[in-house]
Amino acid sequence: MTTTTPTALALSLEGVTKRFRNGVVAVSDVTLNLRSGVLALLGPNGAGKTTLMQMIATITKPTSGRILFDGVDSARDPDRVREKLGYLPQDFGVYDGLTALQFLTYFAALKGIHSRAKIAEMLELVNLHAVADRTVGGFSGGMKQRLGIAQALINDPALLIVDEPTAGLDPEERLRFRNILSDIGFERLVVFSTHIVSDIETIATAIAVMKSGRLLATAAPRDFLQMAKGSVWEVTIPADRFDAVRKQLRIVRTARGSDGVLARIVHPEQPIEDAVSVEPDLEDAFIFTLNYGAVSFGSAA
Amino acid sequence: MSTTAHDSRPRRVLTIAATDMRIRMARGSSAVLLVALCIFAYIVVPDLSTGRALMIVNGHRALYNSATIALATSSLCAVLLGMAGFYLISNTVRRDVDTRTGFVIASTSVRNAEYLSGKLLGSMAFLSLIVFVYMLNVMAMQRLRGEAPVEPLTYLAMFGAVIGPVVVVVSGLALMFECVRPLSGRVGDVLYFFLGTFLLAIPASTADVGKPGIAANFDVFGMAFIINAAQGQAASDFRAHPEISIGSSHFDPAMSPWRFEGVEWTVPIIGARATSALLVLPALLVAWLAFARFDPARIKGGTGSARTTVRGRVAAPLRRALDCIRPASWAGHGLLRTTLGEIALTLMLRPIVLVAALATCTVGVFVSEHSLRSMLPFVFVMLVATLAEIPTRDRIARIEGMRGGIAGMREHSTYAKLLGALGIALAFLIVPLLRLAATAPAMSLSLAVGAAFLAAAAIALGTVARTPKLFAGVSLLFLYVVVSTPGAAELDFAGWNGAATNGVRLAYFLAAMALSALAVLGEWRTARAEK
Repeated sequence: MTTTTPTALALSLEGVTKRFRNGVVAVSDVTLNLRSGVLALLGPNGAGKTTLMQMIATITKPTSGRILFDGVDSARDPDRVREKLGYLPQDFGVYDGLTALQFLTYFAALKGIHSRAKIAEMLELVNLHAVADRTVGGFSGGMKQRLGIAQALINDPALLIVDEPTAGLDPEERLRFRNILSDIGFERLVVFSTHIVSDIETIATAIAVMKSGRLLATAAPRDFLQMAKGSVWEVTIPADRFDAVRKQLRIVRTARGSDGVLARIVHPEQPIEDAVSVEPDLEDAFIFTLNYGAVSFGSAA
Repeated sequence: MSTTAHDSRPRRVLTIAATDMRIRMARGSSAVLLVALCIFAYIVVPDLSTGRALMIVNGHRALYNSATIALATSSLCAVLLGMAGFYLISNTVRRDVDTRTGFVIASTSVRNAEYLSGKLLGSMAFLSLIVFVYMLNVMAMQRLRGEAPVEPLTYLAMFGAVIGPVVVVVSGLALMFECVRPLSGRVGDVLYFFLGTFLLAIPASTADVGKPGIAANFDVFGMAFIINAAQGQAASDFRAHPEISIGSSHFDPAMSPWRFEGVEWTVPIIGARATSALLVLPALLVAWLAFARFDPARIKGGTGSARTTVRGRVAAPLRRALDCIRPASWAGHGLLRTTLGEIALTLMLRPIVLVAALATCTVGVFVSEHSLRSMLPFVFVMLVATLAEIPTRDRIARIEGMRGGIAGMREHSTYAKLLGALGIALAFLIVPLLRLAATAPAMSLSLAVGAAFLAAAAIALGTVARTPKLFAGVSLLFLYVVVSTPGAAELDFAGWNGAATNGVRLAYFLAAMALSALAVLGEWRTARAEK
């Protein structure tokens, strides 16, 4: 990929809140400072990830608080931010009647890009160059998603925002997608949301966990793991007791065996006698943060 | 090569317009429309050997020269385009919401004015193309059936003067209706119908020979202009108030043809036509002020938008009241329960439908029979708004697959929608049907056939076109024509005008059956394409 390397710019969120007219507070008092790298926004459905990303992408304004990119207030001067922005929304759709080339040319033109070579380069990057002249109505979900990332990257954005980009992709396409984001994250700032923890293991340089509109924790992945250390347990539970235990404890994984059910439990203290402390992975840390932790590690990245 | 945003603004507007046009032209329905225009041109310029002519003045047929044919066909085109064109183009912003590409556009530095200008130009270009194809077909018909050489400049001048303002104003109004949230759905579709009728009727009713008056400046559809143009010469050739008919009508072959010489293009005439196009400006201003730039907090159906609208606030208590009859539990296995499910879904999604049906029935009990018949067109307009979304709501909500996965659902789906639509239509019309059955059974039968015809048309057109707009546009235009021509038995599909014969009833019943078959066929095609 031959791109101009944009300077790493800072994104600051200062007490950002979004309250809808029906009274729902989608995002509440979020403060975050980021530089280059890949920030993974983790959270259950309805946590406020999409609304937060839409505010960063200048699509909707915060009810209170400020979002600064490169020192520019995105609510006051959105066009200056938009020139450095690439955005892929959740459930991205396409105009069925256009070819991939026409579709990408259209979005390139909207961003002031008229270079055919650049468009061809993007199609190659997302591996759609062979089907450039096919109408996108017949594309698979993964192909449409790749077209979406191509339009987001076409203006060499300094800030790339992608909302649940891997939902609905097959494992191979998810891997390809993760690699693309990872490469981009070396030079610029990528904010992407997901609730698939495995998506972020290899590429995130920072993780932010949201729940009910609030930012519960922001940390680098290793700090995030550290946070859950000593809170993840494994124990074999007799099959006849398993249902009772499951109702009381946060069991994240199970495996049935001849002597009972091997359960992996997230709990701040030893939950059951004989439970053995094990090394947490990101999924454990995520569950721990959602249920027991409201920890801020300060500025991420 | 990247250009600055400032340098590329006009280019971006053109790109948006061109892409909009390209998307529209890629649809199969556009090809169908263009073929339909060829057929329409063939019908609208009748062969003189059939005893019918396009324009008749005091019994004399007008000679088939370019001036006559351009004047008459452009006037018919203006009515069609003015009433139905809106429904063809009023989904250009919604498309970007539905595909979520609007969010991407909102995150670019494209200005609201650029986006709206591009969309306006795209709509204008599409309507202009339709008019151009129609005009070429009419010119071809003159070559075939005319009595004078084809004069392309006469056509261009007449179509430009008559249709130009229609294209501009309808495009602007469609954009405005899309941008103003309360107008961007079925309510807007129905309101436009009344607005279109007003724009069509008022200048025409105030037109007088040689006195275009102030109304000429608001004559968007060109009706006053056409009446003045035709009457101006006819009045001097015949008498002060000649009888002019435009559209295929019988003529007396014994009477000599009348030669229409065309319009003298004076500055006041050109000025009045240009001024009428300027009505687009307030519409564009409203569109620009109301455009939400895809902000999910402000767009229809966006996050947090429910219950914040007037309609949402009205619907909430109605929904709670509706829960007393537990409509959600009506659905089930089998055709009957699936049909009940469709009716229940309509009521749950639009509780106002139940209120409207109850109000119609209540009023229908107390008013005189004459008033009862007078209110029928309004009931049918309400039905158009209600039935239009039934065939397309699953696709729009993206639950087609989910429904298709339920045992027995897919095979009953279209039949249930047809019967559900008929059930809703009958719920609105039950009182008029019963009252008329006692005093005018034939009219009651016509009403039942009309309800079936409308229900079948709603499901067929929605299933085939995969949008509610086609049915809304075509049916409202049809209702307008039916109300405007009370003497035409062949158009009296629901018996409002008391002109329907048994043959007409049978014809509309068969048409309802054919439309039902078309709906089933359309659904079968979709299912096959998905396999």
